[in-house]
Amino acid sequence: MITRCIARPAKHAMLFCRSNSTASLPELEAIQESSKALSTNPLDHPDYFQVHNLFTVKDLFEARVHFGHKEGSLNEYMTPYIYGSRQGHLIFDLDITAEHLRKALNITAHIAYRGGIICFFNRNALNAHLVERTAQECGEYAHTRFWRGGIFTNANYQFGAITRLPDLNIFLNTQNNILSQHTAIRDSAKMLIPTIGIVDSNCMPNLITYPVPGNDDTPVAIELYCKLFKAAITRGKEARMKFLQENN
Amino acid sequence: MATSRLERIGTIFSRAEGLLLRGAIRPDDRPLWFDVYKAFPPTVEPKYARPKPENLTIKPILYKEDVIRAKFHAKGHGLNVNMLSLTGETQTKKLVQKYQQLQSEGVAEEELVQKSAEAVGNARQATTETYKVVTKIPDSVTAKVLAEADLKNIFKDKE
Repeated sequence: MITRCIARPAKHAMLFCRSNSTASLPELEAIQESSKALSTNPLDHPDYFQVHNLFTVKDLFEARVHFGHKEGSLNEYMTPYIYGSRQGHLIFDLDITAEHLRKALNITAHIAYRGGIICFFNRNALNAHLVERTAQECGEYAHTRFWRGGIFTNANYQFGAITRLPDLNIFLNTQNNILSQHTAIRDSAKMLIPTIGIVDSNCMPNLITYPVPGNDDTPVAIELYCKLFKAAITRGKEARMKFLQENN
Repeated sequence: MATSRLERIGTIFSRAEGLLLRGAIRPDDRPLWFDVYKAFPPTVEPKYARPKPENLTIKPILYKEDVIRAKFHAKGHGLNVNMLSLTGETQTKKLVQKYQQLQSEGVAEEELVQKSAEAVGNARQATTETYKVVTKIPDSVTAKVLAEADLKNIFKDKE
């Protein structure tokens, strides 16, 4: 599906981004200062798309987001997100998870609002269809299969044309298997693409821009994440359509 | 883009910002996410090289009822699960509740486990006899098969 990125011209989004920009030119800033009373810049809002009301901590609990792996497989960088260990099984602190997830949803909505391309990733065959369907339903992209090296880092050569890479990558699980991390996480960091990743207790959160600590295996949990990200993208896109209609 | 591909140095933001500040890319060509990141930076800077968290201890999660649970589990009670109905309270929780109820009624300490196991077992026997399988999708093939199945005599040979 990623090959379809080539076909999309980047112009619209870039134009939109520029006309809606927040900083850089001094004269623009002066204009914005004068009309601050009726400022409509979504970035001034702490939660412009109201993503905080998409879920509650109880929803997370019911979707079994709090279940981590066993203690022995813990990645030390995940310890701040762990609530404790119940008979050797790690349990996530859902208050911290909720905070991180809300931030991630907010970012997703903002990127969608700016017309960015969003790509979902998942290497768990059990959830692959669900993730692909979600991406299709919100008009975005998914990559749930074997990752051929160089899709991001060598894209122009591999696809034979100048390629627009995604503007946000959402990883619903960050591991290829229990041993190795998904190469696209490293490659996204190389190509300056922000990433959102559901990191389980055995995953490395360091290279992921917006990590969300939580269970990344259970289908119910993945269903919840898919639903939430879809809702956030839809809200962003709706606001974008409204903005474009009002300003054209 | 002219960016460095050494992903372990700095963060995506610091590398993009460096390009902007030094004039390697024009402000108009900055990445789409740049302003969003600036307005909502992540809680922890996404640096690859960062010190390990200071407090690595993980506290065990224990409850008062664990003592009672252990007593039941040592005797083999409350370990079976009815996978046809995952809703409702678990067997162990019912046992613990019965135990506490009997304890408040003043039953002797040695008899508590035995008596509550019997009471909960009897109640379970009664419900399985009149048990109706509730399926998620009523029209599905699974629902039809389960409706016809004689769960109580499922292991007995048919005549």
